[in-house]
Amino acid sequence: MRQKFFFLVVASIFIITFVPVIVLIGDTLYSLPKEYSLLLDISVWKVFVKSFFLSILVAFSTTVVGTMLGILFVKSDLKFTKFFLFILIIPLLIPPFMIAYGWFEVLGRNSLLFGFLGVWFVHFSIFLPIPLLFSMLALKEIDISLEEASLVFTSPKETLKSITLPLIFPSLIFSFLIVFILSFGEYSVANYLRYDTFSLQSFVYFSAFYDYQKATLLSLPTVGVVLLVMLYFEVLHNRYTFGINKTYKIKKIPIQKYKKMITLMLVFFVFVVDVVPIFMLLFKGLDFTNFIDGLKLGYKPLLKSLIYSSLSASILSIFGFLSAYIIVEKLFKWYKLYDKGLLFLFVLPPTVFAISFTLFYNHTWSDIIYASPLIILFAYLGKFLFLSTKVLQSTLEKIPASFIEAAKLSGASWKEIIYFILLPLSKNALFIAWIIGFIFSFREISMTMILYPPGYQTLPIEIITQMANGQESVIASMSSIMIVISSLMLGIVFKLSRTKE
Amino acid sequence: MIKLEKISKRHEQKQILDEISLDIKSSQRVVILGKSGSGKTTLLRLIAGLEAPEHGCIYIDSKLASKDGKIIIPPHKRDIGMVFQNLALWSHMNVFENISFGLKMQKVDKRKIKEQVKEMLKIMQLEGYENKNIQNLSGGEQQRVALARALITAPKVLLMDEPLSSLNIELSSILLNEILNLQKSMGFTLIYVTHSQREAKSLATQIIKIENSKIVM
Repeated sequence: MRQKFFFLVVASIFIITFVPVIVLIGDTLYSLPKEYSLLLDISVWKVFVKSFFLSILVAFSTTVVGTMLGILFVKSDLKFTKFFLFILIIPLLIPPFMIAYGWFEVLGRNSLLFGFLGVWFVHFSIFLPIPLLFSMLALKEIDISLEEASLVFTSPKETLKSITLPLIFPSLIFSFLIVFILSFGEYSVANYLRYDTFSLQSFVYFSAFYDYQKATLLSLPTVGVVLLVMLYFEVLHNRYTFGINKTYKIKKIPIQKYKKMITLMLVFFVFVVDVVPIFMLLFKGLDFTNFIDGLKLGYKPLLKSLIYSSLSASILSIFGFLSAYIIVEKLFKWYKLYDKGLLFLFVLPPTVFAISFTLFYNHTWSDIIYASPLIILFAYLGKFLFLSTKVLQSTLEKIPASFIEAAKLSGASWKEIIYFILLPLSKNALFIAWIIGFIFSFREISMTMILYPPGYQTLPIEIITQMANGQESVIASMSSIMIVISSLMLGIVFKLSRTKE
Repeated sequence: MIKLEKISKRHEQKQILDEISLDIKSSQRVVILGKSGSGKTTLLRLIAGLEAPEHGCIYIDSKLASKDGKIIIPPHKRDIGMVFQNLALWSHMNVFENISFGLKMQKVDKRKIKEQVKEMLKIMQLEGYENKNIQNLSGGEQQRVALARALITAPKVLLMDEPLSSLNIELSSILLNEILNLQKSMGFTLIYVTHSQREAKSLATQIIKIENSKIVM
């Protein structure tokens, strides 16, 4: 009974989210003989190489800086680290183009911003929280005695180099690859800053020329890159598991005389990377008249955004819990494949994912999905299920097996164990998964832009539409609403995480 | 050799050690005995310099090592070796790399490191284990690697924190004998923390019992 139920869960997710991607790959391969000339075009590959280089640079810079910050936040006795972390995370939680727009408000039509450097810098601030959070989680997982065993022989600096960094290395590689793929697939910043990237080309073929086949063909190398990156990680670093299994007390290193200098440098860094563009948006947007204007124009999309994000967050929490249960309980032989499949969908560029949905659902039989917000909810489910699953997986893994065994001995069925033991113990994680699901759905633009049915646009879509022909103050006001809501949600996650600790 | 003067330590408002004074002479085998949570591991960590006492002084070789919340001599300059309760073997290094770490940090010549590790592996009956992964060793073998790592730099003091607690009686008796023989042949001062009367009796030249944050002789 239990196997049947969970098989149905996996089957539904597979049909809703995986099948469209498989159809896309099949369709692309089928049209290859007809359209292959596109892949022989040297200019296409030039853009591919340019995008590849950009993403490598973004991944490298964010990993280096994120790791340094992670070490500083976790291992040093620096003050206000939570505050700095909060500010640094915000760009990840708002639509990426907003940071670019904030910089445009500061710099104007500057050639530095509208080009490679600008796209790199905006991607850097958006994706920096990923290696930062990964390194922080990994550092918290290091058993303190492993570092102390080294301290008996050498200095804290050498211990950091010889013991701590090698121990968190798999996690850093993993975050490097995630950032690389996410940056490779992100097109809204490049679109706004008029810089040609590979994912943008695919989007343009689809949205401007409505050329399905060329758009899908261009997605093929991207899918290839994603699969290669995943394969590389699987082969070389398969020991790494995402999520915290056990946290240890951290040995803080006093930074004494450097504390003031480091704090000042950090304030400067946070100011330049995050505060300036966000402040510009808030400064303009939260002016009372502008705010009212923005609200008048944007309240309907805002309402839709809130409804879709709430629904999506609820669906993600439910399926995230069920998926986590499947993985933790190793319910099927192929549970690892399912786990990797969720990761694959998460890192698959949103354009590719959205085009696959259009290809699969744009038929008469599926009109009820394609012509309604269901298409958006399905896309969010596929894209973000990995995140909610991992949040819940790390909680379920911490529940002692004896809790479940004791319930079994008392005669509880699997349903009763879930209801009376696992769900109450995962209450906090469920809420965090809900909030994370909400934030990511709320900020989503890349897939929604391709998929939203007429009359169902979300707030980020409305903002991007206004960017083409609206008033700056109204755009800033709508952006401010997004920033405020996302920050509030992040605040709740911070508060809850602290309680959980 | 090691002198503790009125050492006090608290953890989250709880008094762990209360004005403890102790004098440990060179080449002795001191066993610190006590129930779990009695503060014996904290005492060992204070001697190692991994923690600082809130009050009191610690002298090593007549030099002030820690005083009133401050670590004056850092752990790696105290000439000590330590075997942790969970052994703390680095999984990203093989047996050779784990054992040679201390020598590498002392910038010893590579050829000499090889020779010394080979010698140590022979003493520990681990010949041929150089390239093995830590995860592939048995509990007893891991124990020997941890001991080899702690002794490779020929420290004056060896600190051991319940090193045999996870092993069965038979294996722990064998290893206990080996530790005893090593101490006699190498002449280091041994400070050994345990809750086992059996281990204490078979090893110690001096037993120190800790109860309610104080030493009970």
